Amino acid sequence: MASGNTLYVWDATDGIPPATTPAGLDRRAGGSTPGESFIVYDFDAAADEFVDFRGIIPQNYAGGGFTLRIWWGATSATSGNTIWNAAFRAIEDDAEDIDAAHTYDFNAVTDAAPSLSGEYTAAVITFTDGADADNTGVGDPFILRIARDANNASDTMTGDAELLALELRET
Amino acid sequence: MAILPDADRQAVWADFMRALESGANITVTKTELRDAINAADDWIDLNAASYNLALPLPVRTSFTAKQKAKLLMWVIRRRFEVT
Repeated sequence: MASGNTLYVWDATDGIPPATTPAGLDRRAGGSTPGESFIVYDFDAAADEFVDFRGIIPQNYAGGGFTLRIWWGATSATSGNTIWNAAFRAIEDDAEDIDAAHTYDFNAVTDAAPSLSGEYTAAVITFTDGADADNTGVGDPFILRIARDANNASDTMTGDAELLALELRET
Repeated sequence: MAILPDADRQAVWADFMRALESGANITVTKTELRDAINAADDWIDLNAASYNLALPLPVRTSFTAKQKAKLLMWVIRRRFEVT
């Protein structure tokens, strides 16, 4: 697959809340008549919260690494930064016991809030092929865990951050 | 009456952010909002006696502190149309 091509697209509704400290599924009403329903995951501003997305690496992935685009907006803010974290857990054939704890090794990006609440922007996190993406290979099921690092002093945005969708590209 | 413990101020700050409406277009950072929570609590502490003195005697002497706070809360709700 050529660099820059899309491997996966997830809508917020594809997200799977973890057993504890999940982000909250929410509906943001659009301004049209009748109003659209934008289903989003709300990530708290005071406590770290998480959502998981699942997939299988497509056969046409050529090993170029991954570029994750996180489409997000602010529930109420028009300034400040949100820190997004993302990490892979590979579920390799006959090798990964999901009953055992896995330590997610997060990559992060600090992204500024869109200039209006109601606008969305794409934060970008990259993973090199191999250990940086938990050695997730072609044909492997995987979990992509997303979090807001809300208790980081550099996460300055007031109020919830809304996750609208994810796009995973080959770098 | 003393100011709120830091953990309570932190809880107010977190709850306030969770209750913000969609599209509110808030321009202040989390730190600036936290400073405002602290300032509001400091102001209440500083002016609690003044509020008490402003109440007519029957209420001042018969209401509990919690009832007086509730009275003030209802007036503020009506004045500023907040819930």
